[in-house]
Amino acid sequence: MLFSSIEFFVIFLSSVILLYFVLPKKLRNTELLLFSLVFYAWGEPIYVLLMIFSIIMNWLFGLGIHKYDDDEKKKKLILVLSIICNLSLLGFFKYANFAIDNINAIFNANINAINISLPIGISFFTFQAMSYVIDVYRKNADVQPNILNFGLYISLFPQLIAGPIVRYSTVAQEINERKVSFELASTGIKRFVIGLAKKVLIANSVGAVWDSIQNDTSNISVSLAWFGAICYMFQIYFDFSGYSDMAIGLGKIFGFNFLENFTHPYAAKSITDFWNRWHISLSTWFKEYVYIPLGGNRKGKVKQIRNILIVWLLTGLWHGASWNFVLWGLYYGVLLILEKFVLDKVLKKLPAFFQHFYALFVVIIGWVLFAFEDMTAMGDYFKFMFGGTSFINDYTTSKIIGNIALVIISAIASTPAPANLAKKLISKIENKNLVLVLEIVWYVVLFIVTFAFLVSSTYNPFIYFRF
Amino acid sequence: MRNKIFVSIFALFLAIISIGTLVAPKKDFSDNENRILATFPEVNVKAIVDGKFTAGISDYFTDHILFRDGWETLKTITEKLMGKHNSGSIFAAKNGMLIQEFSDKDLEKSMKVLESISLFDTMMKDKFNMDVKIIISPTATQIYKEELHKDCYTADSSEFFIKANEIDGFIDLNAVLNAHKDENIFYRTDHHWSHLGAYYAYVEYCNNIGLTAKSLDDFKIECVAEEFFGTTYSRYGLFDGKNPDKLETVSYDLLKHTTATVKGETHTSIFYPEKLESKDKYLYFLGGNNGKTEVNTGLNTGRNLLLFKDSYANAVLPYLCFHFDNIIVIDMRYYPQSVFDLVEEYSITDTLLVYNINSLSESQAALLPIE
Repeated sequence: MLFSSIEFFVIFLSSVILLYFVLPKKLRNTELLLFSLVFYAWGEPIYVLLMIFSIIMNWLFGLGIHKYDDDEKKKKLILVLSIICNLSLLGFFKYANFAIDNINAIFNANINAINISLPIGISFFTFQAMSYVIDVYRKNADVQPNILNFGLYISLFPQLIAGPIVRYSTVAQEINERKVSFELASTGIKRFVIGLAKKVLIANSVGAVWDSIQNDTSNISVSLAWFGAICYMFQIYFDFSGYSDMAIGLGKIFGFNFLENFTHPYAAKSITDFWNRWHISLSTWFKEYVYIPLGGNRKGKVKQIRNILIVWLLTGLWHGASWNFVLWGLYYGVLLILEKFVLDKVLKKLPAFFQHFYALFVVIIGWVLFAFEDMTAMGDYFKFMFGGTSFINDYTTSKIIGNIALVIISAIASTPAPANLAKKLISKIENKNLVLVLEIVWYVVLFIVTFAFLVSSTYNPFIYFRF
Repeated sequence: MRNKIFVSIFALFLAIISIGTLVAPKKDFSDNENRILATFPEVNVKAIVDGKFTAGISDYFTDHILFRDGWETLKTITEKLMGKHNSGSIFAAKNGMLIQEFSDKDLEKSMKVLESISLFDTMMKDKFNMDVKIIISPTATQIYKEELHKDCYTADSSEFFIKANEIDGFIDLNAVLNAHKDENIFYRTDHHWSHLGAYYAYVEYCNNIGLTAKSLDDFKIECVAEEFFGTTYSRYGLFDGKNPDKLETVSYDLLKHTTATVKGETHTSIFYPEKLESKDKYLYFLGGNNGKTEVNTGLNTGRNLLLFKDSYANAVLPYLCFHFDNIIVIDMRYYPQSVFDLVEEYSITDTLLVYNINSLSESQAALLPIE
């Protein structure tokens, strides 16, 4: 089920919240677990069994490691086994067909593709499960003896299908015991509304513009190609960070405090800065569980460069089983290495404007790499961006004029400026009641308009049905 | 206090939208979208396992959400406030008209169909020595190009009409429609032309084949519906409210003796007053689009017309009824058979095509039969 679907509001959210606050505390985890399983099964009726299997398996690994706490050998064996099992599941469901395609291409073989579809959210819940087993191994977290509680950690619906990747140590406490309050709930609701608006109002709108541009390039011009890439840049940010906001907000309603996942990445001044602000939970995961175990920066420059490249190769692959994601990952790996050893000193001497410009330029090019799984289409698109066609034409003009307001709003909304401005204005108003009224009006109007867009985006008239 | 207010508002919203959607009476049919709404899905193990059940629930609630049409209107209003003048491939023009989009892709498809029309024209000449007349109306986007806002891109169809003019028997309406653009030749809330646009097409046709066109007064034009909100309004969800369309055409009394036969069933008159009760009042003409409609006018002129058409021709047909004994109306979208047999079967003396350039581009529309 998606947060931006009608049934989520009409049947799911209202029932899960109502029951949660009606039931006694000790039943709440079970209730959330059951609803989360339904939430997952809604789109993946079969694969919910896979998730349950993953829950049982990793819970047992955790118990095993705990049991052999003082037997370093056995403990390590279980850890290795758990990593193999988790990566095999992920590998089979996510990467098998990619591997088969490549084997076929390289060896001219003719292996048939396996008829499986990708279980939604598998990359997220597998990484969460692995973080649990590793955290227990490292004694960064206590073992979870109750399988229902562990199941809840893996399947918790707010972050189940689009993150953030919550590490077990972050929520271990709250899984067992957490507080709900009006304050937490109202913060959560506001955060949820902001996230939903980001997804429905901005991401969907700029996404539609990007789709219309990339799907029909017969009339494209250089300016439109850039405009399209910028639309995609905003689509992916507002979509992804919108989902994270919704997850964090919903979590708060039920008493969970997840860590922030995005902190205005497009305000970054360098690529290193960008990756400290973009999908933080994923970068942290790779840092904690891959980069540092590989030796991080403690074993000389050569090994550090190797480690960075490995992490970014994997980061690329994590985003999808296709070569363009590998390319995208390595692109950032190389740039980060460059910044670390060369560019950083140069960049810092430049005016802030150039630093922003450099970071955004690199990011936009990155998103074009990310957007096209088909390398030929990617190549064509780069040609359009870099002069393979006229600079502007009639079609371009109307397309840009029609959507420029949207892009400007996106640009402003992606910076910390609106929130800062609001804070400043509020601090100047002395009448606290007026502040409250303004705040209420803002959130109610935003939510109602967002809901209208959400309902109407499925409004699908078919005029010629009965002519 | 402030936190309780936020929580209460959100809880209230969820309660209203959930309970309201569940208990409100359900409609089977959406007048605005002209389609049947989803029904509650069947519950069985197979449907649940393969995901059809949840997908069905999803469709069901999407179609039956509380205040459904209101949400759509709110969205269009918001977009308009943000300076957007197109929604759901409808353009809101400066003069208040709601006009259907005509894109480069549509133009491309229409160009292809034009080739087969050209071929058909030649074949009719070879087989029956018949001069086919062809009317293809330009789009409202073309006629009212300067009324469109800058964010509404429309394809330039001049290339199409240059090609079309090379076909024998093509009747170009661009000049006459442009000359009368200040009259209501197109509906403001529907994708069709009005009785006036259709009338000018009729006059051009008569002039071309040597018939004397009757005057508008002769037809005793009457208004059959004072308020007509058509398809472009339905898709856009908003209209400025000034000058809603009227549905006007030839007086019913003048044509009450005509008959329209579809699949062996004969209807008295080519007009269907019962359709004026429905949302799409344009169905007053011919009751809608059928593969083959045999119209008998009760005249005795010795001329029988074979009319290939889309729904644009429906408004032209009443005028034509004053010049032919029988009019065989063929809509190729719903008539997947050879049409050459019709010429002898109905002793056809004249053949006419009436289309709009935009509906030519609909994939299933009007690819004329090539044996």
